[in-house]
Formats: sequence, C-alpha cells, structure tokens
Amino acid sequence: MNISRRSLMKTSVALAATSTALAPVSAFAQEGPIKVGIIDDASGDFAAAVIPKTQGARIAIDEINAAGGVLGRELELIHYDGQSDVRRHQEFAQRAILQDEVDVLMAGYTSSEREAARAVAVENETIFWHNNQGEGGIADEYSFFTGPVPEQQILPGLEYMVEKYGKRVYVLAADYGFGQVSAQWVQASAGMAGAEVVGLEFIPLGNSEFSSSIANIQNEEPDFLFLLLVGSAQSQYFPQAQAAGIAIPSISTVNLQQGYEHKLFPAPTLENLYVPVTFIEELAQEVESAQVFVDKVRAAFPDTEYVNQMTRCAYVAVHLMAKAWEAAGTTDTPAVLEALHSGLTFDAPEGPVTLDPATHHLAMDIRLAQVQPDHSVEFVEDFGVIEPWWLKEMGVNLADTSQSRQYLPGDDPDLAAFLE
Amino acid sequence: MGDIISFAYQYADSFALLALSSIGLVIIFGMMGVINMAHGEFMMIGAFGASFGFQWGLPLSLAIVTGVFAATAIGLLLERLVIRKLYGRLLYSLVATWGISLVLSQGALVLIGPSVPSLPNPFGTVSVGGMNFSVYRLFLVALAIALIVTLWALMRFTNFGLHARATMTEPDMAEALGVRTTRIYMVTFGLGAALAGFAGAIFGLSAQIQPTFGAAYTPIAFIVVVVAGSRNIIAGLLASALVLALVKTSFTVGFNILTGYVAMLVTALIIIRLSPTGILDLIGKLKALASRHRSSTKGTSAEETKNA
Amino acid sequence: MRELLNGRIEPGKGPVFWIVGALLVIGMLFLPGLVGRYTLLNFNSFLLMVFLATGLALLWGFCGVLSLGQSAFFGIGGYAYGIVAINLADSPWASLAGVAGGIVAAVVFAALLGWLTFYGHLRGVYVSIVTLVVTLVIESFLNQTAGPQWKIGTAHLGGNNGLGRFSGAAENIPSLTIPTGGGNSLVISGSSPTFYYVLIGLIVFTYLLLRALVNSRFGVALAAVREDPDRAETLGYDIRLLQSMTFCIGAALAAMSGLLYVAWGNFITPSVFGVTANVLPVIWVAVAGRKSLAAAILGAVVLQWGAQQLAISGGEWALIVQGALLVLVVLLLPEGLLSLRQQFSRMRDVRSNSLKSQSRQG
Repeated sequence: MNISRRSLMKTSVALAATSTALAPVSAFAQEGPIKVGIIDDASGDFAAAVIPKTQGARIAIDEINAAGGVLGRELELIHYDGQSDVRRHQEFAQRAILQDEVDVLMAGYTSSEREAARAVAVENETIFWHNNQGEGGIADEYSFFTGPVPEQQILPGLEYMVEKYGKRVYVLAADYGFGQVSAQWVQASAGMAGAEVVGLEFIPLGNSEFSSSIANIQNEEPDFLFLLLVGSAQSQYFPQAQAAGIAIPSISTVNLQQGYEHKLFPAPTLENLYVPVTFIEELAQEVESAQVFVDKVRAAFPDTEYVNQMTRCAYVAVHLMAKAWEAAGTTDTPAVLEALHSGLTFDAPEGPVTLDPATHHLAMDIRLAQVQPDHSVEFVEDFGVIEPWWLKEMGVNLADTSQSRQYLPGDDPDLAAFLE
Repeated sequence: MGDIISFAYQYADSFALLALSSIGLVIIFGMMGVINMAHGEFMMIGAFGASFGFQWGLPLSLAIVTGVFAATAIGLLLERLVIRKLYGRLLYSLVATWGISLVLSQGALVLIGPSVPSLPNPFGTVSVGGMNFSVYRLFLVALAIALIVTLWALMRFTNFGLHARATMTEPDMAEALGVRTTRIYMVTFGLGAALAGFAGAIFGLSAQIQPTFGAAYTPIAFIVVVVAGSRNIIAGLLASALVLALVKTSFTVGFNILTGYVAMLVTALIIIRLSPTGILDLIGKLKALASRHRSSTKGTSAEETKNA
Repeated sequence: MRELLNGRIEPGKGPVFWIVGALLVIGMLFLPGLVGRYTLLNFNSFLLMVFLATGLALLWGFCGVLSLGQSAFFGIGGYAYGIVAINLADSPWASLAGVAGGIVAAVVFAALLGWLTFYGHLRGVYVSIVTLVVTLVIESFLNQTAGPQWKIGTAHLGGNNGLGRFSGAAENIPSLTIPTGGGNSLVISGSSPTFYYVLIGLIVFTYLLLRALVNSRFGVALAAVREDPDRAETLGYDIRLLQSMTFCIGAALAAMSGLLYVAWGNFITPSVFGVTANVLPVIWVAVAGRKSLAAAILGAVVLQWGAQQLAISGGEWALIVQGALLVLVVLLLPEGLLSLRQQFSRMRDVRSNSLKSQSRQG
C-alpha cells in the first residue's frame, strides 16, 4: 500500500511540476498540513543563543517538504516567540495545543521555560521535545530529548580533566534547578573518579560580580574548575577571571555550545576552556557531515551568528518526528509513540544517533572541544557514542511502563553516596 | 595578612561598582528629585556607542568618548521632550522614565540586535603579596574616586556649581536672582546621562554588551542614590557607597554572594526607614543622639524635601 | 446604601450607567457558550488580573500611593495558595484553605510593610522605591531556593523552576476545588465555564464593594490624603492608618489575582516578582485612568489582550509599544483615557448649567 501511495505521489508531483502553468496543484495530500509547534525565544535575554535553534528546525522542515513532506502532507511550522519569559511559554503552549492543535510541541531553553511548556503538553497528551543540553533525569511518557545529559557530558568530561590535570576541582554553578542538579552530578562524578571537590559556589542568576569567587579560587588553588554558569551576566566571569590572572584550566557543559561566548569575547579570554559537545560549528573541520550541515545552515541563513548545538538538536528532532510519523502511518499519538519506541536512528551532523526507546533520550557521539588562545577550537578527545544509560539504571523503561517523573542524582544510591 | 588584602580589594571593588553605577543618577536625583528608571539604559547606550566607535576604528579612549556622546545626546533629547514636562510631578516622571527604559532596551534589541562586539580590555594583572589582582578593577576604584573628586570640585569652585547648588536648595530664589533654572536642569540631566554613559562604556570593557546590559545596574543605582539622599549629593554618595559596599562585602565573604546582596538591600531599607532624607541625616541624628545624655531626642524628622 | 453606590467619587452614576453595566454583565454570561475552550482559558487569565488592577487603582488613584510592589502580594498570594494546598493535599479543603492562606499571608505582609513605610513617615517616591526593592529581595531569594532543602512542609519552593517542581515527583498544585459534601469535590479547572462564572461573580462583587468603600466617608478621607496629606492630618485624619489600611486592601486584592492565577495554571515561578511584572499593572491603570475602578477593570483586560496579540504577531515590538504607550499617556493624558470622557461630560455639565442659569434669568 505504501509503495503505490508513494508512486502515486511521485506522479502527482511530476504532474504538478509540469502543469504549474495551467493550474497550481498542491503536491500535498488534502488532509492538511502536519503542524509542528515551536516556542523559541526570539527576543529577550536568551534570544542570541536560541535564534540558531529555530533555524535548525526551519531547515529540517524545508528539507522534508522539498522531499515530499510526511505521509504526503506538508509540515507547517507554527512558531511563537517565548520572549525569554516563563509565563509566555505557558500561554503559548496552551495556544499551540488547544487552538492551533499542533501535532508536536518543541519548546524551552532554560529548564523553567521547558517545564512551563512541558506541563501543558503532558496535561494534554501532546508529544513534547526538548532540544538542548540539560540536567537530565526526566522520564515521561510524552517527553523526548535531543540534547546531551550529564552521564554523556559531565562524567566523561570530568574523568578526562582529573586524568590530565589533577584531583582537586572547584565548582561554580548557577543557583537554580539546572545548576543545582548538575552540581550534584559533578560531585558524584568527582567522587567516583577519586577526585575532591575543594569548593562549591552557587551564583545567583543575573549576578555579574565575581571578585569574591575569584579570590576564593585563588586561595584554594584547584587543579581545574568546573563551570556551570548560565546567562550573559554570569558569563562575565570569564573576562574577570582572565583579568585577575586565573590560568587554571576549566571545563563547562554549558558554555560555547549554546551562547558561543568564544565569538563574543575577545581572545584569549576563554583560553583553555574544555567543553564536551555533541556538535558545534567548528566540528565541520573534523567531520564531513558536520561540514555539510553547517553549509546548509549558512546558505539558508547567511547572517547567522553561529551554528550552535541547538541548531543540530532541533534539526534532529524534526527529522526523528518525521520518521516516526512515516513509520506510524498516522499522526495519532498512541501510534506515533509506538513508532518512537521502535529504535529510530538518524544521521545527525556529528554522526548517527539512536533514539533509545526506554529513556526517550539519544545515544550520540560526544567529543571534547578545547578553546585555543586565538579562540579557535580543537577537538582533543572523542568519547565515541555514549548511551543515555542512567535512567535505565534507575529502572526506567518507557516503552513498557509509562510514568512521569524527574529523577535526581540523590535518587541513585551510587551517586548519593558522594553527595553531602 | 593575605585575607585582609583580599577583603580590602573586594571592598574597594564593590565600592567602585556602587559609586560608578550611581554617580550619574545621584546628580539627577539630587538636583531634580527625578528617579530616572532609564538610567541603566543610558549606561547601555554608552557601552553600545563605545562598541560602535571601536568597530569604526577609533582607539579605545575615543571609542569611550563616542559612547559618552551618544548617551548625552539621547539624555538631552529625552529631557527636552519628556522630563522637562514632568518636573515637580515625581511619581509621573518615575513612571514615564520606566516607559522610556522599555522603549530604549527593547528598541536596541530590535534595531541593533541581541549583542554587539565586545570591547578589548587593555589592562593586565598585578601581583601583590603573592596574589594576583586585576589592574582593571583597581582602575575602576581610581576612576570612582577621581570622578567623585572632580564632581565635588565642579560643585564647589565653578559658576555652574554655584548656580546648581543654589537651584538645588532654593530654586525660586535662584530664579529670582537671575539663575536660569531651566538651563541648569537641562545641563544637569545631560551631565547625569554623560556620567551614566561613561560608566556603561567602562563596564563594557569586561562584559557582553547586550540591550539588557544596563538593566542590572538600575536597581543598585537607585538604592545607592536614595540612601545617599539629596542634601549634599557628593558626601551622600560617598557615605552611601562606602556603607553599602561594606555590608555587601562583609556578608559575601562571610556567607555567599546572595546573602551579601540581600544584606545590602535590607540595610538600605533600614536606612531609608530610619531616615528618609538619606544617610547623612541619619549620621547627624546618631551624633545628636550620642551627644545628648538625658533629654529625649526623638526629634521631628527633617522636612520631607521631595514629595509627590 | 443607594448613596454609597451612587456616590460622587467613583465615576459613573445614574440609571443609564447602571443599566448599561447590568446589560454588559448579563451579556458576558453568554460568552462560554460562544467560544472554544482555549479562548475561554485565555480570557480567564485576563479576567483574573482585574483584582490586581483595581487594588493598584485604589492605592494610587484614590489614595495617592504608587505602590510599585503589588506583584509582591500577587506572588505571596500565589505561593501561599500553592504551599498550603500542597501540604493539605489529602484534604478536600486544600484548595479553599489555600485561598484563605494566600490572602492572609499577603495582608500580614502588607501590614508589616505598611508599618515600615507609612509609620516611618515615608512619602511619595520613597514608598514606591521601598515597595519595589522589597519585591527585588523576594525575587532574588526565591530564585535560589532550588535545592531539596528549601521546602515548607511538603511543598518544595523549587527555585526558578517553579513551586513544587524540583523534587522527584512533581507536587501538583490543585485547581480551585470546592467540596460539595458527601466526599465529593467540584474541581474548577482554568479553562472551564465554571471558573469563568466564578470570576465574573467575584469581579462584580468586588467592584460593588470597592465602589461603596470609595464613595463612603472612608473614601472621602482617602481623597483628602491623596490631595494633601499634611492638611488632612491637621484636619484630624490619621493618615498613616488610612494609608496602611488601604495598602492592606490593595494587597488582599493583588493576592486574590495571584492565587487565582495559580489555581488557573497550576504553576508559579519567581518571575512573577520581577520588575516587568510590576510595571504591567501600572501601565494598565495609568492608561485607562487610575481614578476609576471600572476603568481599571476595562484597562486591565483590554491591554492584556492587546499585549498578547502584539506578542503573537509582532513579538519583539510588544514591549516597545507598551513602553511608548506609558510615556505618551503620562505626558498627554495623565489621568488616563477615562479622563477624555470625563472632560467631555464636564463640558456638557458646564453648558447645561449655564443654559439653566440663563433660563432662570430670562
């Protein structure tokens, strides 16, 4: 049935192409478009980092439509500007789901924005995707994630730093949900690697004064720093640290891959910063598919500041959903969920990824980037494909049993042993 | 010893931040009682202007001057169009300047973009007693002191200063004696905007310059300014910045950054509660209290100078 | 009573006003039948803000106190509702206890803050600044309560992610739930017509109550305090008590909006204490006309709808337009749009009076 439908569609496309002069015939089926709802911050504090994310989604949608759409239907992007505001995310999630009746919702940059939108999606049994790195741990029937999570970034990254630089680590973390949970992961990882957390400071969001933290760091003299700083105010740590002569190597799972700070601060402010990533624009130097992807993005959006990790995440998410819809043969949620549990794979810019049915997260290639003195990037280590194994260890299998919960490091006895 | 140096450094750094953030606003408030809620946006304009100047190839110092020009120009324009019509109606000027701040910050975002190229930081590091300090932060301290002294000299020794002080204390009398108060207000507002722009450009040397860049400084600035009071703006600013910085640094070092910030806010609230006209009057009251042994000294609060 | 309702301070009186008003309310009752679930959900979110707006109008327009911290009470009301309701999760009275808790918490806090400001002889701009600084303190504090140790009873404050959203199992904040006896409860979700009717009922009730209040001797005293506090004091009014009481009433109203917001969306984060959240009611009330409760109600609903439309269509311009609107209103129409109508009717009164006197002479 599929084959004949496809050949029927091909013929109709050919007809449409040849007969455009006569009458504009829609190449797409009459059921109407499949609606992809996206709430991204196009204005406000987070706009600079999030605008590339929307670009990734647009490219994917255009590609898919050019190839004939999904199930013969066009993909339609319904985009709302979240204005970097949590309440707007909730409002627009309601609008997208209840009024526009989107078939999928992708929303949120910070964890608060994500939760505001996700709560509405889950309540209305709409499939939800979150497309950037995060603190992980969310096991929910309707929620899917394309960004890397702590066991893919923090664990291998910290192990590398301990091996290379030493066992004493000082941690600066943004003082909110994401920063708190990630800091717990750092503590646990350090414990497991035999390292010692000699200092842990939580920095209030919006704080841009680091002289006290810098003084503390100079006092402790750690072997390396673990940074979990979020937002442009907190990024002022970097020039201040550099001006104070801090030459200690540092690692971050936040910077570079989202806010491309190495493009915004003059060299060598971020020198010797290590970042475990799945994709950033510089990966094009190493991996051909990444180069192809970057070329695509820059061709469509010549003025874009940077092709960041979220561009790739949104791109992958749209393609995976398209595959799921095709495999299910429908947009009805139960069938689509089953399709999403069939072990879908996709050729992401950094390499092939697999959507793990049990955890709704991706198995993906992780590499360690190091910022050079001139702010170019070198990839010093390839960790290979890392599975999102932690939730499975916690007994989660969403393909079998549905649930809705965020697991925290404290819930895992192995990790909790290292938490204060 | 290292701890003392470290504390002194952090204290000076905090003082410089408070003083530089508010020096533009204190002039405007002291002169006209206007709380300019767009103060942070003047700082942002200064930083943006400096960034553009630097991109056009100007040396850093001239780029900063560009920023100051930009802030002053916009300040004078706003004074002429909006603020001038609201003198004496202070709640309205607060509300109106709030609207202006929205227009300026969001306007910058829409018209210019989410960020502009940052400025280089030409300062290095200096080693004292085995610890490294940022020359830039020390420069900020020196700059704060220099500006305060210059402002004092301006007020004390120049004609403008004389006219300005007269207008501040007795505007009607000054007008009757031939001082053109409208002109004084305009120049003062321009000066305040210029200082804000200057502070913004200087802070921009070590920050990501975005449209919301100045918004973080506005609350700090008006807290310092309200605590400073309007009786003697230079002395008030000095006292306010010194006291608040001391509280902030002490609690930050003792506990953490958030506690330091909250402690500073609470101290400001306490000072305002005990003496709405500013910290100088509070010091005066405490002195009076100390010098009288027996008689009850609950003196009437000084005349509220700035009402709605 | 008639005198109170029809009095001279709150604009609008006479049979025409009341008939039009009644027709409007009756017309509103038909809305749920005409619109879809989303539109109702959305409209409910506008309606519930009305109390915040009227509270500010009462404080600013009628008493002359520009409180820039009304969102503190909004937030306290909302958080208190959530915290109480989560802690009493097993009881059918959880939601209503939350309502009571929200209002009580806000009023207590307002009494304290009122003591701090008004009894500290603070006036004008200083009151505004103190109220604003207080919201900043609360926001800063709440933003960093993400850790598992930050909880009141069983409710995790959740920091930036929102109340009840940090721990493993999300603590659900209940919608408005009224026990109906026999172990049953009526759950009124934010998108239901019942919620809408509850809001309309509350708005009408609150409006009439406040109207009577401002038209009474209390309202006259407030007007005296607004116009000239010193003179009012020499005339024997206890201005500090009046200001504090009004402040508490304004706080209770703001808290009402806050807890209704949480009951509507089952969600609240520290951003409700932010600077932007504070300026929005000021914009609504300033533009519509702060000296009229009815204007505040209309202004709040219309401007929220307008802002949302802007956010959807021309997203980035939304805040610019709102800021410009604020500036223009302050410059050109400081009494708000309502003052246009008042000027018009005043002109009409003057003309009819002069005609009357002419006819008497003639």
